[in-house]
Amino acid sequence: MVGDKWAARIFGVVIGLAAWWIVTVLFPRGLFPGPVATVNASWEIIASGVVWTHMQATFFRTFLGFIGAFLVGAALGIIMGINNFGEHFSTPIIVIALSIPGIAWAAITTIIFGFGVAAPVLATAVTVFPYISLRIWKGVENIDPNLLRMSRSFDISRSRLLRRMILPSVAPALFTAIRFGLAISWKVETQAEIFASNTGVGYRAIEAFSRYQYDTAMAWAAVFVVVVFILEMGILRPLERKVFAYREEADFGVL
Amino acid sequence: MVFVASETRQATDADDVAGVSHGTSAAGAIHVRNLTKVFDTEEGTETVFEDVSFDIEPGSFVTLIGRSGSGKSTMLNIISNVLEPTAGTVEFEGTQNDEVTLGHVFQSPRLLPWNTCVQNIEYVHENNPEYTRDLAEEYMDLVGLTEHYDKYPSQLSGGQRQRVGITRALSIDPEILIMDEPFSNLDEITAEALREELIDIWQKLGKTVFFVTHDITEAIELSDRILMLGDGRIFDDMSIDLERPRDVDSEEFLKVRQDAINRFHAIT
Repeated sequence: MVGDKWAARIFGVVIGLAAWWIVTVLFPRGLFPGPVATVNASWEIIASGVVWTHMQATFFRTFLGFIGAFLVGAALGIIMGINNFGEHFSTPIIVIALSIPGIAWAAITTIIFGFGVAAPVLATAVTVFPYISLRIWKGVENIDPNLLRMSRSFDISRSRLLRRMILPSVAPALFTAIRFGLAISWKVETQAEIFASNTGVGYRAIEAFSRYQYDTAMAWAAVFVVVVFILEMGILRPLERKVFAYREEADFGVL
Repeated sequence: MVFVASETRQATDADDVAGVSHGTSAAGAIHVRNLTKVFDTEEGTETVFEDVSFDIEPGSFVTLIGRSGSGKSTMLNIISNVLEPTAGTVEFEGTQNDEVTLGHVFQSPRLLPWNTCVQNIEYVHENNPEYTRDLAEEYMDLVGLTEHYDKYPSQLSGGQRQRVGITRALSIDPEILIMDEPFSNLDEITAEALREELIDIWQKLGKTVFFVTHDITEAIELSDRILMLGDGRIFDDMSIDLERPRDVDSEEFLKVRQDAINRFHAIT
């Protein structure tokens, strides 16, 4: 079982690398950086230390933007799930917000705030919040009203209700919201850096690109992908496995 | 709603769990007085029932029966303090202080799917400093769930899940057990087994049971007394004097059943 899982994963990575290599070969020599060139370029920016300052800048702003998006998005999602007024109030806001591209927000916020932290963070927050709202809305709607009534019949306090009944109900939606929210946040943030900032991974990648240093541009993206992968495997997955342990046990029991 | 203390009895065996008869005190009596419920609708007002009064003896098994839409659920919700009556009162006689504990069993088990059976029982013991795992286990033993303490609801059958629901209600040691069509979602074989177990437990623990169903046979099999709700009033109050255990195929049972059916159809 476990062996199969790892074999499948390694197979997937190998296929991906092979596809990358084939694309490299199809292009004129040196134009499209292959895996080896990218690893070498990555090593250069890591060894020079330049990677850390920019990575830190991007992470910090991605995180701030995501937090903003999460607070606004969760608030709207909760009122949408709770009553009809909330749903009718929030729906047009979310539909409109979903249709505005992140790059447009980046332009608008840069015009308003100029270079710095505020513009990319705000662009990220306003682009990402509708995705969070939609997930949280579905999560709140999925709370079983019968379990609420049961809790009321047994005089369960609000704090216990929240901890033992509401949070576990919305946990799956919460995880999806966090995962998608972070993924979109990082994409919007790096886009916004192209013209809203002079630091960050996105800024450095586009700068390298404009100097025809394609392998360095690729390296900035690659290093970030590795870090996100470690975050996913090291924090999000284990946390999720812990929260949903009851599901695995339950499935095992049914078999 | 008014809660009335019973002054006739002290809580001497409150700590006992299974296998203790709580005897024939006044704890667990229900007094419904002049109860009226009117709902405001878009076309005006709708009276569900008007000026309904009845008393339920402590330790008795009383079933409220009625067609869908007759107001059974409304009555149950008012007695459970989930709904406010338009007029009238519901008074209880409790074991101690002026409070009475109600144990609810619902049509579906309503268990937290992310909690084990024992955790589901522990969930409703928020204000009980004396709660221990032993207490949950003891009650689970009572309904034959000894093997399943740490299983999740999804690992149990429908009947076992409903047993956990009953266990949860019993575990808070309520004076009154309120049961809202608890067996109607189960297959007949499972439902029958659970009815027999319920009667065993009721005879052992001596709690008042207020049971709601639309199934006449079930009502006769279980109850001391059947209240028939319809036309906005309790139109019949029928005592069932059959000896227990009751055999649903016996001649006496069928006779009582026919009588009940005739009386139930009297208002249509």
